[in-house]
Amino acid sequence: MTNALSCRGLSKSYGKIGPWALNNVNLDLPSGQIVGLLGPNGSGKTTLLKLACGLLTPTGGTLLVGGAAPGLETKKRVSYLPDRNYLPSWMRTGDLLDYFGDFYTDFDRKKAEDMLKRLELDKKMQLKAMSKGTREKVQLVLVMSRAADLYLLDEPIGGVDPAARDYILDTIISNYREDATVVISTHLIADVEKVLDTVVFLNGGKIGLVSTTDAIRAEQGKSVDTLFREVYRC
Amino acid sequence: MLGKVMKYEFRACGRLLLPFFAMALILSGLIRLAFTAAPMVWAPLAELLRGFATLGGVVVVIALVLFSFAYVVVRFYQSMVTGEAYLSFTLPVKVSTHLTARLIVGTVYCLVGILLAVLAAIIIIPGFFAFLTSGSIPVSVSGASESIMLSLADIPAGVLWSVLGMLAASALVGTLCNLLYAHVSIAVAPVFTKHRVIGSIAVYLVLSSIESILSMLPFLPLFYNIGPTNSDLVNYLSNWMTDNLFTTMGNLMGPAWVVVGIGLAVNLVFAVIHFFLTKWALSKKLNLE
Repeated sequence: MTNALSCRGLSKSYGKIGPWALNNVNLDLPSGQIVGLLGPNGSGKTTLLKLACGLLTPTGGTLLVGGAAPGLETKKRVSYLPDRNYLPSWMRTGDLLDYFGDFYTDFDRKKAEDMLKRLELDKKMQLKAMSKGTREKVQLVLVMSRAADLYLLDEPIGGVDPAARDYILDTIISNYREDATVVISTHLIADVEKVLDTVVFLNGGKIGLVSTTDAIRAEQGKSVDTLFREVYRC
Repeated sequence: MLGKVMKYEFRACGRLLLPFFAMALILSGLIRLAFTAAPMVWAPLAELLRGFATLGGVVVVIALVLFSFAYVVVRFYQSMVTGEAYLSFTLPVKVSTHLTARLIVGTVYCLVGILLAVLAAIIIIPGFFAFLTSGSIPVSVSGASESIMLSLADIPAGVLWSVLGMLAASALVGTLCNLLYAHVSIAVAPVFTKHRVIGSIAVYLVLSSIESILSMLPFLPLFYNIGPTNSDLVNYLSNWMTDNLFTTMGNLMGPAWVVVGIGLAVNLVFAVIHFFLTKWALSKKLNLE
């Protein structure tokens, strides 16, 4: 079976001679799992996701998404939530539904409308009139309304209050396609570990650990959060 | 996909440019009213009014051209390099489709800006509309407006249409080329430097310097007595300098079209190179911060 994401010797440097945001990363993520990409700030999480989306060009090595290099075909199958506001602020939520519907054949408009209704968001409301937290929720609704093969969610719960974190995690869990892979990048491990099947520890651009959450709990007798704090204690 | 990208780009540019165009035309009407009202007010105030109206008219006409161009370039920067680029480049759309859509939409808005600048000038200059429709200069017109109309009236119709043709071709090709210059500068700069704006200016300066030198090459035969057009052109130019301007202009149109045509063709060749350079930078060297 083809891996959802596969890296071989993947490296990325933002300068001519470093420092390395990712350094010789080898990683295989199987399909149908919820994966936590965990690491402190600056560990290379965002870089890895951006490389998978084709927003960055690797300095070395290869990265395959469902067996193909990032490109036109993989973009049809990958649903990406960046760690920033990336939607035009002048657009209304209704415009954004049209936009996603026009470009993504796997976009489920009905599902998106239902989720927006639960948030009590008016379709005529412009993004710029919304609070930061609401904008992030709208972005998440759009991304999770796609029936994608791979969801890449960069810090989906960063910068929002605990109640909003619950909403976001519920939205992710209840809306992804079951045979799809969901990669959640975060440093807020305690909040997400309950939903994860597999964790990848990333630090200094290198893979520290790849394991299932069940194996960590069974073999080490610790939560993922506790293990992470021990491994990466400053 | 091209149509879909264009649809949203038309909307994105239009939300600022369409109100701007409307405002500029309203302002043109107000300036014209100021010219019309000037003779009815106290003489020193009338001069002041004419002065402000003239200045305002020049600003409106120039702004219509420059602001349209500047804004479509800013839109390209926003959607291809900064935050919105995350959306653009995660869409299942080819880079060449993104570029073509932005080029078409940008060209349309720039040409509308140029046409509206001409329309604004027609509205603003007193008696100009009547002159264009009737062919005669209204008796109420005097000063600079009268001089412009007298000059235009002296030009033979054939020459006038030829010049208008040249201007239209130059406006179209010039707009395409300038937009592609801006696109390539913005797209290629991040390949070399993190300073996007300074880098874009540097890329623009380097490219324009190289291309200015290269674009002179097709004209070398004209200046170094090579090829059949040299003597004709020199003769026409000397006639133009010594004889009546407008009687020789008809004869000059042929060589002028050759010169303008070569210039436009050279620019189009560079424009195609710019398009592919931009495509290379945004597909093979993309690094969004």
